Amino acid sequence: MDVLKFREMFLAEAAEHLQMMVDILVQLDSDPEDQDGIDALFREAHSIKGMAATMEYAETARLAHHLEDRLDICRKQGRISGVEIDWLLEANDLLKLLLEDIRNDSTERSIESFLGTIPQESEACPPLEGKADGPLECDQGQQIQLRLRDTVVAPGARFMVLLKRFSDFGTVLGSTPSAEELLQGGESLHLAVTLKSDLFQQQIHDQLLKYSEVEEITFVDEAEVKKEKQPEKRPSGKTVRVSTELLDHFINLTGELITNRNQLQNALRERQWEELDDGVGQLVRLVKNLHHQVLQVRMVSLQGLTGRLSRTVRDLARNHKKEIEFQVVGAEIELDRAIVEELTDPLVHMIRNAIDHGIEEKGTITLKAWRERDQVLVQVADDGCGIDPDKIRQRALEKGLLNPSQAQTIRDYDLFQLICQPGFSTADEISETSGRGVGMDVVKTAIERVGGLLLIDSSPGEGARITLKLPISLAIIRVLIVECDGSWMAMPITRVVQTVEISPDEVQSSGKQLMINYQDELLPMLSLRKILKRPQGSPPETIPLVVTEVMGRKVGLVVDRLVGQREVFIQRLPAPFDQIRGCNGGTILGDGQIVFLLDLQSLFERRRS
Amino acid sequence: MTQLLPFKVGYETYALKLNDVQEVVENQTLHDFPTAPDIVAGAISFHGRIVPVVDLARLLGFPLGKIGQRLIVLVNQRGPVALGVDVVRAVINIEMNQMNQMEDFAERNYISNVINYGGEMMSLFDLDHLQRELELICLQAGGERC
Repeated sequence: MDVLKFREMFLAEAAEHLQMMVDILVQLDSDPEDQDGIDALFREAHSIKGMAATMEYAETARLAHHLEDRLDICRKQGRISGVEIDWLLEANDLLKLLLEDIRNDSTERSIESFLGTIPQESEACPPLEGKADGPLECDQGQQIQLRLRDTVVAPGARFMVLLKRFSDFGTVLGSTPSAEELLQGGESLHLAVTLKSDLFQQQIHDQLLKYSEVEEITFVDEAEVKKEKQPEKRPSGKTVRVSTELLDHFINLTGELITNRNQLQNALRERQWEELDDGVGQLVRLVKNLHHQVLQVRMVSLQGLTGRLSRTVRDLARNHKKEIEFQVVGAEIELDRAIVEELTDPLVHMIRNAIDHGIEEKGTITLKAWRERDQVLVQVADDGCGIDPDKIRQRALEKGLLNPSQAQTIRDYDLFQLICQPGFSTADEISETSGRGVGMDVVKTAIERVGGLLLIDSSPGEGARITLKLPISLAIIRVLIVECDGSWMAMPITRVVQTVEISPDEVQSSGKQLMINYQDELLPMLSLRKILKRPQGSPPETIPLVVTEVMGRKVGLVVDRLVGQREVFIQRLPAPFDQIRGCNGGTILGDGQIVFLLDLQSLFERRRS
Repeated sequence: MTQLLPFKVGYETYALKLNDVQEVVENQTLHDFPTAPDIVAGAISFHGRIVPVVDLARLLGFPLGKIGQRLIVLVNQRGPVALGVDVVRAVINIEMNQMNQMEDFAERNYISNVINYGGEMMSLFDLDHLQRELELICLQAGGERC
């Protein structure tokens, strides 16, 4: 294994330790005397220090060492203060930046200024900010550039004198040109000196001004120099940690597959049809098993996410001066890695909304995850003031999303879904008028991109609940296959509320729109043939209907035939065909037939625009 | 020496550089692509992948032939995408020099050059132009079927 590989391992492991620290810190915030927590925190810092020292990442190791020191004090005191937690969180952020430096192969940034902010039980001073005029004490020193007047006869000699003067201010770490070069009689009128000093910039400046031949003195901001040098961000490679137990499963499976192959080859050679049949049966079982295990590799729990969310809650609560408790239920629920990654931003958004607009002074936000058959449900609930349906109604009227008669009859549940309409509200207006919904369309889009569904529920005074229905895996999903104009098409089962067959007598009309009574609710009927601009079919004896949700409203989608549910592997289409709206990829069924995955939402958006 | 694959669409003989061609397939089942723009005739299953089929006759404005009998599957860097054509001919070897290249194609799309192959005129099909056009068409598409 080469150094690069070690580095990757180090980075992955250190990132995990850091995440762990954040999780523990947030917990300690509500229970500052939890001895086990402080101990665990100490161990995490210790691990990072050890690993960084082995890899010779000096700054990282030094910072981790400082954390260890602080935590040791806390351990002895038996408690950890809020200021201390804040400081540790900042240190955590700095460590992340250091890891970023290491990943990008650049020198680790200096931690000196941060170490100056060791927590005191007073106003915590903001660390990491460059001081406009402070002692030039940081490790790398500060660069000072001098320019001499054109009239100076022997600039080399003058610079030698100046360099000597500089060493009175502090330690000269280096210069361009160097002292040797100057001795050989440099002709340049420019000199750059890197100086480490206890003096203030102004003092040095004043001293240098005493030399009449100096025309210009520039103090170069260290951060600026660094910025220029900083290489482009390297993409962090996507790696997965797989338990050895899982790998063993793979090896065993491979063994079984080899045996199976031999059995099949044998049976074929000897034309033992019964054997062959047996073998194929085995193969079916093994492939199914393999499929299951491969999916396992991609699965991660929501645990990695909850730490970040707790921190969001904590920071926001502090900013808004609100008292908020964050409860997590079901963090062990696992989902495909890609889905979990997509979930982070929407969840942060939802939590922000709950704190901004839902909870007034004090309250609880609950993040709950659970499994329901082959779906995962994730819910963010608050016990705040809830969403006021009248305000939404008014807003929808203003925006022309509803006409006055619709506004009268629409049920609260359907009304709430309107919040997710693009342009329902802008960030500026929202806080005064409707009170909720900043960027909810963005959230909804993100959820739908991974084949999920978003539902909003609220009752005044009892808070709001936003529930996400998600598929467990992205690539392999359960779909409902329908027939339309002789072709089969699929839609993710997560988007389907129910399938029903109705008799033509049940169809009612309201103006030009055909409606159907579904569970005491009038749903508009839309024809898939019409949406896809296909010729009208002959009137059927019973009408197959897919109850689904588009643009936040339940609708009954009329298809020619309901074929059934399948579990399929979804392929992305090659570019530029992946840009075609209304289609989210396709799948090849066992018999070679291609079935495309319909994205009704974007089909409708297209129709409206 | 360049190897070219000549093919016919409508009244015109075109050619593709053989380097851009992955395979020529015949008598494939064409599957419906419900939301695709009309220049996409459907899709085929090609080595386990879904490959969209572009109806070249429709794209170039020729009378419509029977799509799906002869398809040229382009290399993966170009999609992969399959082109539905009327006739595919045998590969030819040609020296690409000034002698047989004629620069009178400026007025016509999808043609990067016109080649004289032993007295026969062939249009070198411009795949880059095709790619740009497809991008535009796909971006604008969505359930519309003319």
